[in-house]
Amino acid sequence: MRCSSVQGDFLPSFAECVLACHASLYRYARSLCGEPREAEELLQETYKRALEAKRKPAAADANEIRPWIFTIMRHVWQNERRRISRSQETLFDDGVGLIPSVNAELAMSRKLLVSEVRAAVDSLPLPWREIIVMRDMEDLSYAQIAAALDCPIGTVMSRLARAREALRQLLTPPVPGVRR
Amino acid sequence: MMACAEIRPRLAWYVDRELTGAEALELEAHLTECADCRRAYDELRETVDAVRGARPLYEVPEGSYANVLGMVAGWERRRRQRRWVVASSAAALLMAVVLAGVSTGRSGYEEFAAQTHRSYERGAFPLDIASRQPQLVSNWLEPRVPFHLTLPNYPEGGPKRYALAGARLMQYRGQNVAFVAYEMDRKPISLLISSSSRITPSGGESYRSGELTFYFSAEQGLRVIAWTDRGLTYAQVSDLDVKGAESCAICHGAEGERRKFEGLGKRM
Repeated sequence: MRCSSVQGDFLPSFAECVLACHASLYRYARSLCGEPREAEELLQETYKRALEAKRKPAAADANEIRPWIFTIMRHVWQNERRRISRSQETLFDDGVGLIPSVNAELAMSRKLLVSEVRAAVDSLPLPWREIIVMRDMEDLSYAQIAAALDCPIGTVMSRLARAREALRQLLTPPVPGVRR
Repeated sequence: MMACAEIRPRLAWYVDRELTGAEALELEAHLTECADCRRAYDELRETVDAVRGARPLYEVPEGSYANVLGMVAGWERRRRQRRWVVASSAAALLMAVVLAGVSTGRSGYEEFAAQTHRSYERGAFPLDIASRQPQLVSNWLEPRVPFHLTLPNYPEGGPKRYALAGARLMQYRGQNVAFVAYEMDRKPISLLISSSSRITPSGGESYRSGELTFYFSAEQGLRVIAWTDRGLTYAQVSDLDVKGAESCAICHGAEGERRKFEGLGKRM
């Protein structure tokens, strides 16, 4: 699936591919910002930068473009955070703090509500939250996540494992009398 | 047999479909024999399934897609003006038509359905829910779309020529719409479903059958059939080499069902 033209076959353009990333990008923006209004602003700024970029991916393939445009969004967000200097969070520190319990009544044996899972994901430290969103929500491969985050695949795997373990603890009700 | 220490880190690769071939088979064999690793796998699977089952975690607000579409279309238009060439891509043409509000007699819904079908066919986006069970897919869609939807199981009983693949939530003109994917002879068939309150089909040639009017058109080399029925607007897209009532007979192949479409072919 490339941008070049092939007779008799419809191939997606760069514009179509970036549009195909819209929902994924918005959800990633929400995972970064938390608030819908900020997420929408981040989304629009990301598209603005992507469209103005002098070097765009050669292949018009949404799968190849997604890591590229995720990276743009991450950079835009980081720059904005630095500019307003209001971050209280260690942005990309893998250190594990105390993860608050979402709801002691949650049980894996019953169907978890979207709001419960969202609360658990939202409570994760940012480096874990964004990797869960990229992998389990948006189906990016390890290689694509590594490209988007500009880090080795090993880092992706270890961070993902820690994030999932944290989620497992958050979504599993404590057994009475047993300390986790 | 691989040792447990080698297996544990591979569990996530397996769950994430990053492990294939002989390695995957070896891991599966280990899991059938090792209770501890099986338990670790089940725990991981349970967590991942719970998280993936909550997709989409964040709803895309109305109007967001239209905003972005406006930006991208504006960029495309400026690019074309600068280069003094007519943009060759079908996507650029589609966006220009949509944004300029050109009165072509089409609603745009069919074009959007075809574009979405093409994107899905090329793997541009995954399904939010992958399941062959209409009830499961209906249950997933129900709270996410602004209309009541129960996917049928045509024809009831007996073998089917097609299989449900799953669904994804899409946005069209600020509305949540359901993209439902099917498969027949290894080729995708899709059905875009929306409320008919603001979206009605109008493109292509129209044919009447009973109380329903079907609109047949060709978009991007695909066959699109659109119609409205009981408050919902449908656009079925495929590149199957079938015509008129044959398209309907794929799903509605039972004798009683087929009668509904026998009138098809009479142009209005």
